Amino acid sequence: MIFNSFIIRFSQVILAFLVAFSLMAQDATPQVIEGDPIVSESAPVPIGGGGPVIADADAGKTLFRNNCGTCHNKNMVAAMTGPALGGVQERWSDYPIEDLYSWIKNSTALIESGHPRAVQVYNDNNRALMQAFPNLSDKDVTDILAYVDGVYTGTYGAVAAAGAGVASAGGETPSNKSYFYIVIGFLAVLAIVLTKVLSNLRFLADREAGIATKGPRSVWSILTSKGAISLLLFALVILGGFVTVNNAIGLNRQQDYQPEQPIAFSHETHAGLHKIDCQYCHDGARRSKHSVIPATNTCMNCHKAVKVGSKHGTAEITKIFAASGFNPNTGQDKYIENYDSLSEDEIKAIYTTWIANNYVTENGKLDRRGERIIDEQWEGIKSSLTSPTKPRIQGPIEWVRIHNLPDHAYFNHAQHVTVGQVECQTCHGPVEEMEVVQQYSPLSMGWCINCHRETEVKFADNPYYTSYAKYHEELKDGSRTGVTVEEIGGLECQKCHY
Amino acid sequence: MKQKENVWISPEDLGRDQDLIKASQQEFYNLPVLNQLADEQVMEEDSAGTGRRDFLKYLGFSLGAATLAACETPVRKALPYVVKPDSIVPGVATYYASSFVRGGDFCPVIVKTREGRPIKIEGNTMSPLTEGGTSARAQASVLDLYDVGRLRGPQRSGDGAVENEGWEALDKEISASISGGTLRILTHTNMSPSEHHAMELLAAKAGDSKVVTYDPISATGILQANQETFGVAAIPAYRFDLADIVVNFGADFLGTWVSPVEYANQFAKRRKIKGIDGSQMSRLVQFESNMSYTGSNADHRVLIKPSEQGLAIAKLHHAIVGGGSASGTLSNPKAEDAIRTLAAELKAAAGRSLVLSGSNNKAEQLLINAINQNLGNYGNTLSMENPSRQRQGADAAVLELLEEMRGGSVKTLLICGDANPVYDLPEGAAFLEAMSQVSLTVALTEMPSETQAACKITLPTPHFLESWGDVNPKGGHYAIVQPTIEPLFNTRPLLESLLIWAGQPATAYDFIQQHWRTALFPNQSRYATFQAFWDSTLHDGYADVSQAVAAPTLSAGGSSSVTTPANSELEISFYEPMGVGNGAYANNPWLQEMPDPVTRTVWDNVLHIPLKWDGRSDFEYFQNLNKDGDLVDVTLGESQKQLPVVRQFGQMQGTLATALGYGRTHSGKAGTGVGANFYASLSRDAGGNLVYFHTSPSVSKRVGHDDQFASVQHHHTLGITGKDETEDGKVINVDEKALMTLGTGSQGILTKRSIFRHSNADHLAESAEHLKHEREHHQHLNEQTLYPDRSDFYGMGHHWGMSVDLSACIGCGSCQVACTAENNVPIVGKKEVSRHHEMTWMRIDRYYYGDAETPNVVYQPMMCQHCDNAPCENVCPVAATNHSSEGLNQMAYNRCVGTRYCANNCPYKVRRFNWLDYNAADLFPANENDPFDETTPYYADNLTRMVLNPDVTVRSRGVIEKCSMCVQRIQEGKLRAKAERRELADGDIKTACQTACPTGAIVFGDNNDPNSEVSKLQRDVKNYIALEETNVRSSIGYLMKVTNKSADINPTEA
Repeated sequence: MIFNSFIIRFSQVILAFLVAFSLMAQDATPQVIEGDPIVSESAPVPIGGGGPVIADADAGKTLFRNNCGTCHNKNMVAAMTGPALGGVQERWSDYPIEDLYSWIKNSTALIESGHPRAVQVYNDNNRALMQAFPNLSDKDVTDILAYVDGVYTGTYGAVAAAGAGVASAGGETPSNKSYFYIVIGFLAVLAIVLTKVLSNLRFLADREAGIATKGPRSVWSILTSKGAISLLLFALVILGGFVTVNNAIGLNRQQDYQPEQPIAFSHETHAGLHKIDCQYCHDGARRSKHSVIPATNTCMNCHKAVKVGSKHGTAEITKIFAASGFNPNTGQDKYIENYDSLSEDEIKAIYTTWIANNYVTENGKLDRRGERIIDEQWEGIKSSLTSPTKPRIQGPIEWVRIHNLPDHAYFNHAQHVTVGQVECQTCHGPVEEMEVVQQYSPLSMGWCINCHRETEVKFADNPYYTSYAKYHEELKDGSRTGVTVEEIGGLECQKCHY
Repeated sequence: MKQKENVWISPEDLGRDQDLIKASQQEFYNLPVLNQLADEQVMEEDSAGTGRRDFLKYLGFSLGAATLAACETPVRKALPYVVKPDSIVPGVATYYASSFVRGGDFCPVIVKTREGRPIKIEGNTMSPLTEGGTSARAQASVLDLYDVGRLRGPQRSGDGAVENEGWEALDKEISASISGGTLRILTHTNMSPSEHHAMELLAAKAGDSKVVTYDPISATGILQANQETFGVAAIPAYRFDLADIVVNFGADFLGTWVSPVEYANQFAKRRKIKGIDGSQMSRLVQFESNMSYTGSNADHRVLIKPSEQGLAIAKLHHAIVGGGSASGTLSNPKAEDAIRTLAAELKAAAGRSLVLSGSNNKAEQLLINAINQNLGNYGNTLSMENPSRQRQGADAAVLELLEEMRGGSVKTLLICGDANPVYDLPEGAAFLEAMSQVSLTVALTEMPSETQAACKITLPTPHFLESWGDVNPKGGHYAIVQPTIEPLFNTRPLLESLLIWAGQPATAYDFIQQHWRTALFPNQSRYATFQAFWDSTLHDGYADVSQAVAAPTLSAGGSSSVTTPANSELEISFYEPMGVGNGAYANNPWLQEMPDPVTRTVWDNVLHIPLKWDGRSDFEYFQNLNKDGDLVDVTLGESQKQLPVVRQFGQMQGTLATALGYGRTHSGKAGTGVGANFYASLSRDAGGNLVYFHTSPSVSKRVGHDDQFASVQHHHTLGITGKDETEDGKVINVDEKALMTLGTGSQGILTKRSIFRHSNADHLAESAEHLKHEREHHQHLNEQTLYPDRSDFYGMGHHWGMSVDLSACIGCGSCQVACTAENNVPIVGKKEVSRHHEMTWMRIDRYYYGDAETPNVVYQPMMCQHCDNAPCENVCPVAATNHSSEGLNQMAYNRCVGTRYCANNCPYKVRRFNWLDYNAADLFPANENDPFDETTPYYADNLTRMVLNPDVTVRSRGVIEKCSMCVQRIQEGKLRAKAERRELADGDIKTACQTACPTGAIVFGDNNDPNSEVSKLQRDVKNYIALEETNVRSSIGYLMKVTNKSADINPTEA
């Protein structure tokens, strides 16, 4: 009997473990599968002999962004400062491929040498010289051309999008949850079998001892026994409580929140590619509690000159013009004086003209597709800049706020950026790689507290901390290596809640 | 030291009222259930509100709703500027120098704006007049800007209907009416030189034009007297800081009279003493019948009936100057003695003394002038060189206007600003009738008023925070009013209206700048260019310009037409209350909910009645009214008004008092229907000057009781002493009675609680010695402690503390309103206050001591003491309140579950519980508080919410809150120092109460810094800690209240 009850206890413990395991399985971190580098098949014939060189379009993308993207449109079809690059190899196909390579590396030299294609391109582009890139290797140029071609023909974007799709779906594919369920199922069956065996043994033992019993218990009676049901209930309560508390504590937290913005502003382009300092636009971060979404006139500092985007063309940048009342049309290039009093039709006239002119510049003439684009872009401008609470196009852009702290939590950017010298990326993640910004950190209290526990204050070189005499002595005599935020009261309630 | 045994807060306290003792032992006072049930209104509300079933329904719903609401986070928008102004950084406050002006009230201010909206008024420390102080009215003025009741656009009324109109049509009509016709402009005191100039320009258009200026609380008497003596109709520039002795006949110069912030600042300079040297202290003697606010701060009060004031002045004149007739005797023999003694003291202090009076009688003011002249005070303690322009009204002028109106000769009447003759004149009813004889009446005002409602055209004017303006409050002192926000409504400044009708349209800015360029700039020598002059004026908020001083004509004063004593049995005096003033401030809920310093009542005017105490337990009350809040009918001539009574110590037998400024019938939400209006009962003397007393009032027996009578005097009391029956009737601390029975002689608990300390200047050394021994005893007691020593923990970094000088604190309440504004403290309304539910983080306790007939008063600002051994912290079950390493007693609202143990355990009773939802922050309307019988709480309106400080959490229902020592300012100051990479300097951080204080009584700073002002003050011999014997180790020190009583005046108390 003692043995029997031991077995029963043991199987109960096993069941409890099973439940616990299944819970942990839910927490298993999803693994993200990196997309494989894209290999372009349309790579040009390698030069300089040696083994076959495989063009790496991804490397080409990076090189393009770092070297070419400032002047050449990354959609490869529209001109920017420099001409569109799409189909460049075809245009140079009359000449040996080496000419194109030397053109890319040092175009000035090629023009001076009198190369007919070089001179023609030079004249076609208002005799503007392209910068020389002596640091590019042949492999680099091959990669760039592969990327250009990939984008132009659409193969690169498609593969990349597919790759991204794989990556974003990657969270679910490699789940090993099913194994856990199989193991759980197996163990559950095992437990039932064991209990059945146990019951039979007990029945036999009882019969041998001459005790009258009803017969061995059926599987059904085992499953509906008081013990099994109470165990199940207990497990459910524990499980329910665990899940409720865990989820309730995270209610309203928005980690990974990635809303669609009224303007498809790309941090990847601005902060990553063009390396604009975060604080150029978010100029509140160093001096205010808010980092500040830049005012539209901050955008206009650059976009008075850069009027067509590399990715969306006129679709997105025109929204800034429409919000701030800037007339981008040729010969205008200035703010509209009585913009506030203009009607929607008048505004429409100004900006559809601009979109149309731009379309004509890029495509030669205004066709049906062009008209559709104009309509689409104007609708985009209208829907982005108006809302039920803001019927007019003029006025501030209603961005969607991504990082929302609750009202009772006080956070000050200046404290962290100017005093603590914390990098923006520490909390906001690699924004320079985000096409659409998402909330990187959980912004939970535990997350804040943990950072305050671990982060050391810039203690020694700021005279403000002079009054912490004891710490200074300890730092001097070596008994302390640093002072964390916690040690100067960084965990106290009224540092953030008041 | 004469530590008087008798310190009391009210008649109940002196008479050991059992209900009071019971009530004050409970932190959370509840009406007995039966009382509450008997209150029909409560029953009605309950049945309409939440029953048990409703409760269950709500419970179920709330669970579901909360779950649903929490699942999906709403999408929040963030709107950046289109073109960001350079001066604005979102999240960082911008400050502008400006001036608070309302009629004759003036205060130089700095306006704090956030994202372009003003949220707080601070004092302008650069101003030579106030040196940074403010009044409660200035502090509260920012709320008026966001008043939902403001007039929103020009309108025309006729036949009972109001129609909105455009400016052009109305301007055309008004211009046509003005041109060639008789124009009268009616205004309260107007200190704007530009507006005066514009009125002159407009006068040229009219056939006959006159500006009629009057003040409801008038100073015509003193203006006339100075016109006669000096040829200047102005109020002298007083220098209370140079006067050794001030004898004052009923002028409330610390609270409401002319320029109280300036005077309080001067006065306090001679009341704050260093160490135990009381020799520099001035002495204030007040002659009055009721305990006025200034009287409560006086060293001596001499009781005279209101009608005897003239005689008393004449007697003093006779004793000093000689001559004149001063026949007749004062009903109070002590007053006769006092006048004799004072005459001698004044003569001894000739040139360093000051006699003034709030009398509106020209003859009496002439006598005052003669006394000051005789004493050689002109040029020393007062002068006519830079006289005050803060009262300009001429009482009789309104009577002339009234006659003209009745005669039908006035074609156009412009009523400007707060001028509200229908309400604030004794002839209000007649004025209303006469208005129909005027072909065009135009109101140019901000808020609806009794007079505005009767005008044919209303042209709303902007709030002072929305418009440009200029002020000339005193001599050559010119201040500027700067706008800090775009006008919220369709309003137009008075100045621009005048200019349009004068045919010279200009913006207010251009006109003021032009006026300053031509009229003021040439009279100054500091700046070479006008631009420099103008820019520095905008920065500083003011400019001093040399002024041609009219040579005084100095005629000999003296005439016999002083008021003759009435010899009636009962007299009543009327005074201007601190909060609502002459009635113009009635619609400001912050001011309505600021307790009157003396009566401690809110949201009402009350009848002060006298009481007599036999020194033991018997009281003799006027009409046997033995309970504050009992209702009586007050009959004054024709009119009868019902008022609640307050038994007022220091009220002379046979006299009553009540406040003007209440009983508005056309105002906003907060002002309408509060209290009763007594302007109609004022009379005029032979010269037409208003008389602020009535000699034949009659008061009925008790006719009822005001169930919502809201006096905060018995709320949140600390430490009441009582007689112990077991020990020969010895006075013990009744709070500790329960503890005492457990075991005798345990430490400290039987000591009389050390709440406030007071002394007289001549006993200061003795008192300081006594205090030293007492504190040593407390220290000894405190050594026997269970608490571990944490001085190591608190010794590093900052340790915030405060020092409050009770000698300098005059109890004006501006700190309380400033705290309300800074910390988003809600208003709760009269009914809630009557239930002890007021929310103010800071209160000013009032104690009486000394002679029961003319007691001295101590005002003690009481806020969270931030105890290092805080008793509130260790009883919190969820650790929502705990201590910071900087010595702050912290409160985490989101952690608080509302057990209220902390409030029960707080010895200072400074914690406040959010009984209701004052901000519409939770789900159920049943929890909301609607002080004005509106459907939504006061702070639920989006316009009103604009006044909230975005750096301070708005608390919801069910949590405790309390003073945080303005932790948001501390954090801001620290951050600034860190970012600028420097040590935090003393004075970098100032709390809201500190900046508001007109006398500099409150000093905040770092106690760990031995050189900070606060730590120096806390080492002063007069410093003590409230309830030090309880070993709570509070961070706030109080400096003993010191009076400068003379042994020779009113020697009855000895």
